[in-house]
Amino acid sequence: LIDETVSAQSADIDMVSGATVTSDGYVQSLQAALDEAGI
Amino acid sequence: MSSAAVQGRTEERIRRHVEHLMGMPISLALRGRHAATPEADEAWQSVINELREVDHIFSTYRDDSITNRLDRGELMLEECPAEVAEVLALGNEAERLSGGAFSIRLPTDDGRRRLDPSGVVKGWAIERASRFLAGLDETDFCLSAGGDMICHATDPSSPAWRIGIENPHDPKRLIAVVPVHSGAVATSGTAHRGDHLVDPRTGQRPNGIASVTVIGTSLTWADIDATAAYVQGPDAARWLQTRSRHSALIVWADGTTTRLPQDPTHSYID
Repeated sequence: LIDETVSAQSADIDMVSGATVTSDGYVQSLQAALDEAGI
Repeated sequence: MSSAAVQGRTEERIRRHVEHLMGMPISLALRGRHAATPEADEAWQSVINELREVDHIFSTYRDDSITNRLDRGELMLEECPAEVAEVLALGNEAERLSGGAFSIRLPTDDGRRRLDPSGVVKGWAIERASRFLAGLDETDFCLSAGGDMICHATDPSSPAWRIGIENPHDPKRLIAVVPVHSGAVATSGTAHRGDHLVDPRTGQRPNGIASVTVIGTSLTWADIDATAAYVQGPDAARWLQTRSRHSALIVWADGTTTRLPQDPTHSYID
């Protein structure tokens, strides 16, 4: 189910799940990078 | 399904939206027939409008929210929108199932308990609002509120959404990638300042644990169970095993991890 431990750089992912995904830290977050890439 | 689905995942177009509400990013990824149509824009707007209404009812930060007025005795439950009774019932059920590790009545410094339904509201609201997206024909979506999400793929042959699980010790990196075709993913842990999860029975923050990710069919319950497990600290894995039909990843304070179910051939998620 859980594939493997991967580095963010090599990961082909669609969304990020994590406890620190708040608006405070959003700009620098992995989720922000994904959101930007898709527009 | 549409021709987009037969392309490799790297070529497939994913359309994204993001809006900040309730202090968290609401992120949407869409693919398939309506990924970039006016219908999708309309559905996204409906999601955002509904989440704004939910915030006005349930916010703990707004003095004039319905639940803050209810807590102060300015309103009776019967005078509140029906959603309030629904959320309170979920909170009470979660408290019972967790032996009090989850509660919507949290201890305060002055010794009383204040009504704080936010542990239920996020997952419940996103799951509920996702119905607008489920109405888009031949369109897959992944809708996340602050890292808790519901994924949906209309066709069994379409690829799973790939969900990166943030490393709580280094949020710039991932600790795992979980493929989810249709289902919910929620992570609880040590969030940013001012948002500390405590055990409602003791008012204490848990020890020994960094994050709990729960994967299940319902985001309402994945989110509740992730929170209830996290605040139990060292007992998180044992308690999660009492909750059937969940997969989970626990990251401990020392960096080690536990996966549930422990039998790797046994998966609850397609």
